[in-house]
Amino acid sequence: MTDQLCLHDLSFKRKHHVLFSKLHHTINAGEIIQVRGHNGSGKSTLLRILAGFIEPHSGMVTWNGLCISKDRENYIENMIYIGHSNGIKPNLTVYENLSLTCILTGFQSKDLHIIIKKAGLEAVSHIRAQYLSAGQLRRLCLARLMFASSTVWLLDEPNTALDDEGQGLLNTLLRNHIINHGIAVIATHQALLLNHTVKTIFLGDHHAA
Amino acid sequence: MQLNYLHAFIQITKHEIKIILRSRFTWITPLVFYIMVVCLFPLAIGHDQTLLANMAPGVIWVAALLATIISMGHVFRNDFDEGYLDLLLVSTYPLSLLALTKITSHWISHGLPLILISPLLGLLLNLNTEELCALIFTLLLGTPVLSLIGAIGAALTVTVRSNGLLLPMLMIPFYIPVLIFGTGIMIMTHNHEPVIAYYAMMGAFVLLSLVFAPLLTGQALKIGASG
Amino acid sequence: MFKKLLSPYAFYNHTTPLVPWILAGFMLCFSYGIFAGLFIAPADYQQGDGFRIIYVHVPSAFTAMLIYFTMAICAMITLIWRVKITAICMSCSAPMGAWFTLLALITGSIWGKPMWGTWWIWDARLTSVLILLFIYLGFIALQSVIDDVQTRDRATSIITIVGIINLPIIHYSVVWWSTLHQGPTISKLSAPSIALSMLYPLLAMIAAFILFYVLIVMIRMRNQILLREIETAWVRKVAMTL
Repeated sequence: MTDQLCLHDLSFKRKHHVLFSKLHHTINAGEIIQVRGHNGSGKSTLLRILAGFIEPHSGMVTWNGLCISKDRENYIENMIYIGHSNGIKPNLTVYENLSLTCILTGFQSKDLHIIIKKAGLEAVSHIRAQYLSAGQLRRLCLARLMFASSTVWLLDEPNTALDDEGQGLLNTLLRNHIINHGIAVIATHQALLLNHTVKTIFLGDHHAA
Repeated sequence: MQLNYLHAFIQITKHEIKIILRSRFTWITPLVFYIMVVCLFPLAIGHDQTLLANMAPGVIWVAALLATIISMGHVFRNDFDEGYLDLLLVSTYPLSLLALTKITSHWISHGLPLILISPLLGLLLNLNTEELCALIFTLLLGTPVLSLIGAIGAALTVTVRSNGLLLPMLMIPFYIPVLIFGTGIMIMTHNHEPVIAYYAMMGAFVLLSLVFAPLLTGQALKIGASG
Repeated sequence: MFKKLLSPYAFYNHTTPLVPWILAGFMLCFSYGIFAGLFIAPADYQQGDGFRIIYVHVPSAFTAMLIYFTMAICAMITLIWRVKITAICMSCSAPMGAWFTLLALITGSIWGKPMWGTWWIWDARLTSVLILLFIYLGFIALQSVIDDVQTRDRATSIITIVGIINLPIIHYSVVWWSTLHQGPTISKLSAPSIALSMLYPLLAMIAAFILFYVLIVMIRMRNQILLREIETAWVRKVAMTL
C-alpha cells in the first residue's frame, strides 16, 4: 500500500477572518507540495493543522485513510515537523540537542556524529547552541530529518538563513526523500530548486496568485 | 519499535536538569526570593523569639509555596518560545510522561534547593531540632505536590502573555491543602502530638497528584499549544 | 442524534419557550419564600429576627456549590465529547457562581456580627466558601486572557476538573485546620431540629435561587450563542426578526 496524505475540505478561520476554506488535496507517496501565499495567509497554520497541533474548523486530514487525530500515534511515528522556531535548547550543545531530539522521537541512533558531519556542524558539535548563527541552527534542525525514517515531512520555511551549501544539503535530503517514496509539504515563498515537479497549494488571495 | 519508558524518562530528565542548571538565573532566583521573603517577617513583626518560632511554620511554608508557583511560570514558557513544545507534542512518548520529566526536573532544580536551605531559615526563626526535622519532612512531601499541581496551571497558561500573576492566582487555591497539612504537622510537632497519620495524609496527596497531574498537564499542553 | 440536539441552534430554539415559565416559577418560589421567611416563620428563640438572613445565606451558598458542580459536569462533557453548548454553559455559569459565593460570604459575615461579635471569623465553612470564591476568580481570570474560543473552552474545562478533584480535599483540610487552631466551633446549621414553618420558606428560597440561576444562565447562554455563531445564517435570521 502506498502512503497517502489527504486534506478533506479543510477550513480555518482566525477570529472572524477566514484563512482558507474547502481546501481539498491528495498527496501521494513521492510527492512534494509547496504551500505558497503572502505573509499571514495561513501557511504555518496549515502546516500545524497537518501536524495535528491545531484542529481545523471543518474538514479533516487523513493519513492512509485514517483521521490523524484518531490515529495519532501511528501518524506521529511517520511524521516529522520542523517549524518556524527551531525547537533548539540554547543551553545545550549541538550534540546534546541532537541526542535529546533523538530520544524524543524514539530512535536509538548511535551514529549522531555521522549525522552532525553530514549536516556540516562537525566543528561546532560541542558548542552550545546559543553561540551558533541562524544558519547553523537551521542546519541543526535539518539534521533531524536524517535520523528519522519518517514518511511525511512538514517543513515551515526550511530555507530561511541557509547559505548555498545548506540549501544544497536541503535539496539533497529532499531528493533522497522523494526517491524513498516520502511526502514533503513545504511552506516557503522561494522557488524550490529541485529537479522534480513540485505541486503548489496557493493560500490567501487567489486573485493575486 | 520497543519503547523503553523508564530509560527515556531518565535521559530526558537528565537533559532537562542540565538545561536548568546551565542558566543559573532560572534556579537561583526563586531560591533567593524564598530566603528574602522569610527574612522579611522578623523585620515586619519584630524579633520576639517565641513569636517568631510560632510564626515560623507558616512563614516558611508560604514563602516556599510562592517561590514554587512563581518559578513554575518558566517551566513550559521557554519551551513554547523556542518551539521545543512542538517537539514534545510529536514525540513518540506519551505527553504525560514528558510532562512528568518536566515536573521532576523542576522539583530537583527548584524544590530540592528550597528544602536544603530551609534548616538554615528555621534556625533564623528560632525552631528547635525536632521542628527542623518536621520542617524538612513536610517540605520533602509537600514540594513535589506543589510542582505537580503547579505544572497543570503552567501548561494551561503557556501561550498567555500576562504579568506573571495569573498563574499564582489560578493555582494558589489548590495549594491550600498542602499548606494546611504542612504547617499543621509542624504545629502538632511543636505540641508533641502524634503526627504519623498526617504525614500519611501528605503522602496520599503526593500519590494523588502523581496520578492526576501528569495526565492533566499533558492534556493542558496539547490545549495550550493549539492557542 | 445527541449532537444535533446539543447544537447551539437547537438549544436556542428549544429554550425560547422555556424562559417565561422559568421566570414564573422563580417569581412564585421567591415571593412565597421571602414573605413566609420574613413574616410567617417564627423568630428564633436564641437569635431573634437576626436568623432570617439564613433565607439568603444558605440558598446562595448552596447555589454557589451547585453551580461549581454543574460546571464540572459541563467541563467533562466538553473535554470528552467536544460539545459546544456545555462549554458555553460553563463559561456563563462562572461569573454567577462567583457572585453567589460573594453573596454567601457577605451574608455570612453579616450574620456573624450578632452571633460572634465580629464581622469575620475563620470558621471552617466560611473559609471553604472563601476558597471557592478564589477558585471562581481564577477561572474567570483564565477565561478572560485566552483569545481563541476552542482553546479557552478546553483550558477552562481542565482547570474546572482540577477544582472539582480538589474541592473535597480543600474542604476536609479546612475542617481539620479549624479544629487544629481553635478547637471545634459550634456549627451554625447544627440546630437540632428546624421547625417546619422555618424549613418550608428555606426550601422555597433554595428553589428560587436555583431557578434564578437557571434563568439567568439560560439568557446568558443564548446571548453567547448568538455572539459565537454570528456568521451563520440562522443568527442573521434571528436578528432580522428582532
